[in-house]
Amino acid sequence: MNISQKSKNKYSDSSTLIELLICLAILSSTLYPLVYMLQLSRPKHPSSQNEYLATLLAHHATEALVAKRALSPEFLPEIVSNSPVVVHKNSANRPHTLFDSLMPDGAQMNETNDPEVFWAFKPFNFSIDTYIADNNFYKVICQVNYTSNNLKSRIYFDKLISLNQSTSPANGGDSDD
Amino acid sequence: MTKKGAIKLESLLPITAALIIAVALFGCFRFYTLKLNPVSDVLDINSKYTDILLEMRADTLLTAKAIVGENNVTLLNAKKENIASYAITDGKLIRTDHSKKSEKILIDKLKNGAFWTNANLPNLLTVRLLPADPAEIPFFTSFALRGYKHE
Repeated sequence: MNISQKSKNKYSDSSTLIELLICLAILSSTLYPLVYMLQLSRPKHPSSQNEYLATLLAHHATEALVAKRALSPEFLPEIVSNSPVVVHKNSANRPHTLFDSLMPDGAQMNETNDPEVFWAFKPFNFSIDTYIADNNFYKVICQVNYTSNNLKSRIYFDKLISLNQSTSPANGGDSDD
Repeated sequence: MTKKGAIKLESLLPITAALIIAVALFGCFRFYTLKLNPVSDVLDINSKYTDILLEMRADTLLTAKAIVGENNVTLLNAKKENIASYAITDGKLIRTDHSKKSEKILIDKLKNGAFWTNANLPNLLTVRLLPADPAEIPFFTSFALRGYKHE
């Protein structure tokens, strides 16, 4: 083998390696869109912002109920259906009394005195369901309803109130579910 | 005329396989670690709010009295001992644990915030936090002071 043949072989060797590396680079880069598509197809976290705010409002209502019961143990909430959380301009429905203290000064929240929070709360409605369980317990279900992506959703907290105060263990005979 | 490479095909195959596996593993790693920005923001604010909710809920279970200031609240137990205090300073909500003498920033980048109790319900502490980013939801909820005794 002479020198010219050797250099020719070397040239052909290096071109084979470069072709292989180019193939690998293309193959690697084609994987990224695949990974991106998989990433997009991942289910999003179930807790959306609306869902979280509804949870906070339902928590507020339940805690307000606990506070009311601590001050007046005879208080039992009544059934409420779809009352707004804030005062709507064109609606005759008033917010439930559990949502009276939305402002530090005790005023009703409206779109002028606290617009940022008002618009955040506007999509939500509040309901209370009650029923007597086992003749001794009064079950209260505080629900916050909202519409998200044309789907009606709700968040609810349960509260079990003992009707027989003498057997109440603590906290006015109430228990959290 | 056929080309002859310096490296044999048999020795190239494991290298190729190793590279493909490495790229696939890197892809999987990116898949599990990367989050889309809007989703991560939501998760971020929700997890911070959950921290606030859990901290305040644990504190108010023992609270008999809440001393509310302009941008702060101090929680006292039935023995009038200081349990914890929450203050909004420079857009940050800071919880001070008086027993451990420690401070913790629960959330930052707040536009404003307030704590209050209602005249009709003095045993209900309401918290309202408004983030600086208007796209993020406000924090609004209440906590019954479980150690409250009506005087």
